[in-house]
Amino acid sequence: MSTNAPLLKIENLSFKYFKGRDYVLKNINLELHEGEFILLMGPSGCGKTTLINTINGLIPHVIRGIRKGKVYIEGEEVGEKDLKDISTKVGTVFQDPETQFFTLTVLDELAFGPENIKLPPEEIEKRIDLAVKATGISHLLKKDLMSLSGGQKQRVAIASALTMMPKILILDEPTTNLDPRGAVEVLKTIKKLRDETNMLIILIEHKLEEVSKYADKVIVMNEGEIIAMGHPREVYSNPQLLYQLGIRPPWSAETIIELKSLGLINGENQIPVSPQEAAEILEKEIRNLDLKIDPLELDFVKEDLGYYESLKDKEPVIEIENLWHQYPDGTVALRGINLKIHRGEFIGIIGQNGAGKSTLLLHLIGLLRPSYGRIKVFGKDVTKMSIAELSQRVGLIFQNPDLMLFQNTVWSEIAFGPKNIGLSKEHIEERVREAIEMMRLKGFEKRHPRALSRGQRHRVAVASILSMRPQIIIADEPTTGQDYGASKKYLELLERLNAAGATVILVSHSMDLIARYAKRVVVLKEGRILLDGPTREVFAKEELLATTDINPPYMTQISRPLRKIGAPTILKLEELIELMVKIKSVEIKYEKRY
Amino acid sequence: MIGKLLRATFVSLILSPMLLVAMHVLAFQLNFAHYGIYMTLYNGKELSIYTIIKWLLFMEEDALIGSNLVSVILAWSISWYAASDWVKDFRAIIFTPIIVLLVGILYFAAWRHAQIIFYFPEILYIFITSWVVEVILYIKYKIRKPKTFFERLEEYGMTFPEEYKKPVKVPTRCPNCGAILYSGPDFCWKCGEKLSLIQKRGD
Repeated sequence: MSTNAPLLKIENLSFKYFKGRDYVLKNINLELHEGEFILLMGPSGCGKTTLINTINGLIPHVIRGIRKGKVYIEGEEVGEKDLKDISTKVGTVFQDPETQFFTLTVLDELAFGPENIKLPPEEIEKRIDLAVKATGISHLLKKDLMSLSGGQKQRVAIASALTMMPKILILDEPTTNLDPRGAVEVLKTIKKLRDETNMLIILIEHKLEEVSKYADKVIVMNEGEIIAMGHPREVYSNPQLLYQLGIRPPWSAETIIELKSLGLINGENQIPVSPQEAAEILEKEIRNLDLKIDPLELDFVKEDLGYYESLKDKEPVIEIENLWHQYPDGTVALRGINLKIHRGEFIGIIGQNGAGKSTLLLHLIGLLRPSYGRIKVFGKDVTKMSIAELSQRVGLIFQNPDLMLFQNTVWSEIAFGPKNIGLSKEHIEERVREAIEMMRLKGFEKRHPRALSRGQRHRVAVASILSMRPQIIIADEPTTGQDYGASKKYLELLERLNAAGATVILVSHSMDLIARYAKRVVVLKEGRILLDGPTREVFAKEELLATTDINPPYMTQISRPLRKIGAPTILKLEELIELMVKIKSVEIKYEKRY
Repeated sequence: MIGKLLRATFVSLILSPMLLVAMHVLAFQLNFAHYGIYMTLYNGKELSIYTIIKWLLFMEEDALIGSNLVSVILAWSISWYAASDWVKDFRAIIFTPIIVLLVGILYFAAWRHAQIIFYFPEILYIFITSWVVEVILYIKYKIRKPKTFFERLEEYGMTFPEEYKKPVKVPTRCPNCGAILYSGPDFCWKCGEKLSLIQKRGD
């Protein structure tokens, strides 16, 4: 598909924001062609967004700074062209589609761009028609933008970029704020564009498992420089490089590399770029084996045994009895939830947007009151507890830390809760110091919380909850928009708090995080509990999960072929290794036997 | 009980003078005097927060002498009913008016040094009529049972399987495989059986 002349050429590009100390982009050289699908990755703050802003012309036309070097699109330098002309060649879709909507209805939004460049009505109609077909949103045309789901909004944003018929389409983390169903919708649209158009697509995305198979090239950035570039198989074959940057390579590549290095699979297998490819490799490995695995011989299965049963001897900390909730607009968000959560549990709550997860959580912290039914926290009816009383027992960490930060210094932010419940100065200080220590915020005490990086802001938000010493910690989508390194640290902290006795409720769209950390999973669907059980058992019910568009964790998908020989559902890489060791040793015995 | 009574008393003490003032303003605006109904508390005077507070505390002479009997009955009936409906207690209906009267006497006698004179036919008339109104409303309320949450949902056109409406006593066990369940899920985590159907059959 590629032609020889590059569509996008970047020469010795460096950029520094006026207020910044250092160059954010350092001597970037890049040549990309028509029809290529590029996956751009790097840790937070590595310069990805700045790079795309130099391509779509926001730098230097809107965002000012010191720019050195050249950016050419079809041989024309971006700095020398008008932004309006660049916008006909480069379309950008941002993380939050709402930030780029100007109108009220889908049709108006799609017409907005072409109208602004004074295209005749027939041409506008033609372009809208093409964009609508490419993104599959014909049924949404007359709808109000605000009435759309996250996935639909993002597809409208893509369609409105397409109406400008760009040569380059840039997508900046388009699925970050979406639930699995919305993410699938958007990724399907991106795949369709890749297959059916000749655009150069540049995608920044953390969901490497989903997009790597489409990518022609992966570009890895760090500290403003391109440090690796090549086909996904090539780039993922050096996972150490990605680990150093706090990026986790796709589970499929990581798993096969790990198994290869341990000699558990054939070393000649190529690096997979999707769970399906990795599963095929494992299938090949066991194809000719005549063996049956007894799950009860596996240590990780033995560890699970009896755990769930043993919960009944533990003290219930949350008891929900036939909880219904109807919002003032008539929407019934919860429809008869009965649930018991025990002290010390690490429980994962999953489900699509609108399944009732947030409504349920808001009941637990007293911000919503049941329309019908009852909730008891530590045996006491929440309707009889004040918010202050409840907040000492239950702490909710919001998805967006900014919603929780309103004080002028980190110290006062963390001290706010304890002060409000009337603790003495000494006790407040003790709690704040303890929270600062736990969240590694020493040295930031006098800083303004909003002036910190997102990761640091998240830590301040968690510290402000920890200073209340809640016995129940609820984390709502804690890792959204964070790179792997930051997510891992965050969840390890929750794990430590859980080990110290706190009950942790984790709400996430990342099945891999849930699989790794939660011991029990509750699946919500349309305000009801669809499934509730031990994590391994819940993720084994793939057909039931599919009814709510939930895919099992990638490790479960990768190891699916092993179920044919009786293997249990695999949730973690360590478990797969243990299983493969078992399989290999069985194979050796098998060979010896005959 | 005492808490409920205090709450009901508090509400009716606040509400009844407010209603009385509102009714007098309304009567003046609608020119009730033209029809021979004299409610002279407001009389088109200049309204200010200060005068309203004075009326509410019956500090203006007009407040005592210009109140029409019907307006007093209405104000008392509505406020007592609102108060007892809030605490949802029949005893509150009976005792709140008595407490309100005692508080009123205390207020006028101790603070305003007013001479308390009971004009028995009038006071009885006010009390009995107010009580009767309240009791009728309460009985009507009792007979016409308030709609349940589910009936209200059905009004919206929403229907749900019967088993959704019943609480599940947890922990329970899957009727099919015996797996322990710490919630009321639609499917069993162990055998995948559809549990709501089984419960329905069990009913």
